[in-house]
Amino acid sequence: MAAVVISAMHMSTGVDFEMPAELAKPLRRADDLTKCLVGCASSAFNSTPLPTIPPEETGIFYGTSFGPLETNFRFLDTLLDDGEGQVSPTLFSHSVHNAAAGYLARIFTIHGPAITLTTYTWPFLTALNQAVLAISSGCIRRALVATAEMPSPLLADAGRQLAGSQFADGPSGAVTWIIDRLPEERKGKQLAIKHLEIDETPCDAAVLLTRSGEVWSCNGRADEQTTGVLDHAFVLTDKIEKTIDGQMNKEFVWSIKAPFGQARLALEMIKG
Amino acid sequence: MAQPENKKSSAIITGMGCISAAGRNVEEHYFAIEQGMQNCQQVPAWLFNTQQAYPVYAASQDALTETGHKLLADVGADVSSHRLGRTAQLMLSAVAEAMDMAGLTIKDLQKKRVGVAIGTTVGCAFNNEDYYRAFRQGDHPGLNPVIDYLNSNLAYLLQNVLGIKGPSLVVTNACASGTDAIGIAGSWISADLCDIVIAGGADELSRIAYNGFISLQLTDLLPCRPFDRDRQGLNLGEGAGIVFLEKGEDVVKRRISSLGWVLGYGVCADAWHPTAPHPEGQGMVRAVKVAAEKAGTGLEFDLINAHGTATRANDVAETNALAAFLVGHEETPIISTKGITGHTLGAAGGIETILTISALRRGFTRGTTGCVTVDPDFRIAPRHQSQKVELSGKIGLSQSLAFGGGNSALILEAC
Repeated sequence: MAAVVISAMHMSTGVDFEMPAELAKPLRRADDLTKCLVGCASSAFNSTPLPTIPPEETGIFYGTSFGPLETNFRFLDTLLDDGEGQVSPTLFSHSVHNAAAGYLARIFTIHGPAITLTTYTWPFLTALNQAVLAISSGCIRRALVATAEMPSPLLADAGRQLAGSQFADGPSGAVTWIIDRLPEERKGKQLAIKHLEIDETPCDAAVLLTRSGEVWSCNGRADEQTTGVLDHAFVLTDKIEKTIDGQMNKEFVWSIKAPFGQARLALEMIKG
Repeated sequence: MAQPENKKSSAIITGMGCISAAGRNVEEHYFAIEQGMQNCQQVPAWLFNTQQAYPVYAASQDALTETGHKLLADVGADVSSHRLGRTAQLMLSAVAEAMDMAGLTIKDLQKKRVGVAIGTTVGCAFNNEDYYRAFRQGDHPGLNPVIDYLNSNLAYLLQNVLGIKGPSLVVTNACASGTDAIGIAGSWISADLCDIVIAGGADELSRIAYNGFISLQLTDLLPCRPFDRDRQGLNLGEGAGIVFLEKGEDVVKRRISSLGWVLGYGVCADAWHPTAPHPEGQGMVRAVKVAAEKAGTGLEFDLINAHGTATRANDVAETNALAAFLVGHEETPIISTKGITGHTLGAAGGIETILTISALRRGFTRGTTGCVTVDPDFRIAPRHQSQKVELSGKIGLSQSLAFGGGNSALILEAC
């Protein structure tokens, strides 16, 4: 089976993301979720060292828990305030979960699979898992793996009611990785995905929102608490970036445990 | 039964279940096709209140069939114990029928690696208007609607109800979700990630999606007329279509009948427009070619169950795509089944996969219900409702297009 390597990664928080000027026009009708995700993907693509891959050999795997929840509420506002027959078609078309993936495909000219997956556990890892499978099985050569969430006052209010002061409204924003089938032309060390395992367990639904009891660890070091559904993607990406900066020579093992399951990702440096 | 060498890694369909306005099981759906039934009506008051005149294809009020109730009873649960929403009840009804057809029990499933891949659109949205109205007024309404929303992730819920373990995900690729879920499930079987996958789609009618499609001016005041010269748009429907997929060697061991194979799956983005398909159907052509390459079938089919929503843009793009890859095979029977089910959004791909396999197994289908006169501007002619189609072969194509520029194709073979 072909090795799958991480070629680029980028993180944007929901408050500080920068929008390249050339994206202003194509994103003029987009919601904040899409803008943040596209901006983040743009940075990842700009930092990938590989030559351009044919559009049909590149795919999008976007995982999210809540997707365009707030856009759906803005659409609902028009229905409740203005009544039937007066609702906004633009808001409706952006309230569909895969609207953001459609923007990614258009803006970055991606003609391969564009798959949006929804899960409350670890949407980024779920998307990564499918992307690795698509590359390993020879369907595509490159994948943009993405996750994004925006702040939701409604969910934050529910979280505070459920967990009181223990509730931490985690970060919003986006995380994007570019992963590739190990290309022959690339020389030097490559960070390869060796193993990814996700094991979900049924649990009290409230825990999916409060994330209580969710902890992660890296290379066997002490567990640390996460905050919010995006946190797994942020801390994982941050840990990998810092480890690479530290000239990783050994296997990198990152794991996460929660009442709703566990997941484990192993990476290793290989010679391209 | 030995597995043919060229299909050893393909997923075998051993069970199918569906529910929609056309019926409460697979047999009733096929009867509806044979009779050309169109159970399209004004939105029932028990579903939601509306002043709009656009009719819909509503399933019956009791979304959980007897088989579905029995399945829940077998796991010691009922509708209230899981506070199951309508989409979940539709899904469980289809799961129960498919599970019976596959000859599997809950104990069988709990001993195996069982994946769950379900497509939906409405089923993953928080659409509780009363809660949202109260929240935006500054109230703190009871949290049950939020808890129910968190519990309603269809894959997570199904794993929970059945007590099964394996990979799971919900595909939210708009109207192609059900097709993509089955395609992904097939890839899990091929990669030996699980022994069985429960796959398909489910969606309920909602006031929000109903008004959304009206705002896009994509709806018809009459029952939909796919591929017809005078078509005006779609009518929303609701339902679920679920298949059980298994590995070939397990089917041989269990000595059960196979219903068919998922031979190939292709999914390609148009990269064109937020809601409209590429006018030449370029993404659809690519998706079919990818699926055909995996299936090893070439581009010859005995039946094509098209997306056929009856919107002006979809039907033009889709027939353009079909004309592009059916060169030399223009007589291939092309139908749409949305005239009997309505557009069931995330469920459509699941239901249409089942209707394709059923037609191929029976060797017969009717033309497109609702289509009286095929649009003469099309570059290829789908079958109209008065045509009876004898099917001599077993290879079918079921295709879906979606908002966001998604195009998905499944190549199926009936047994």
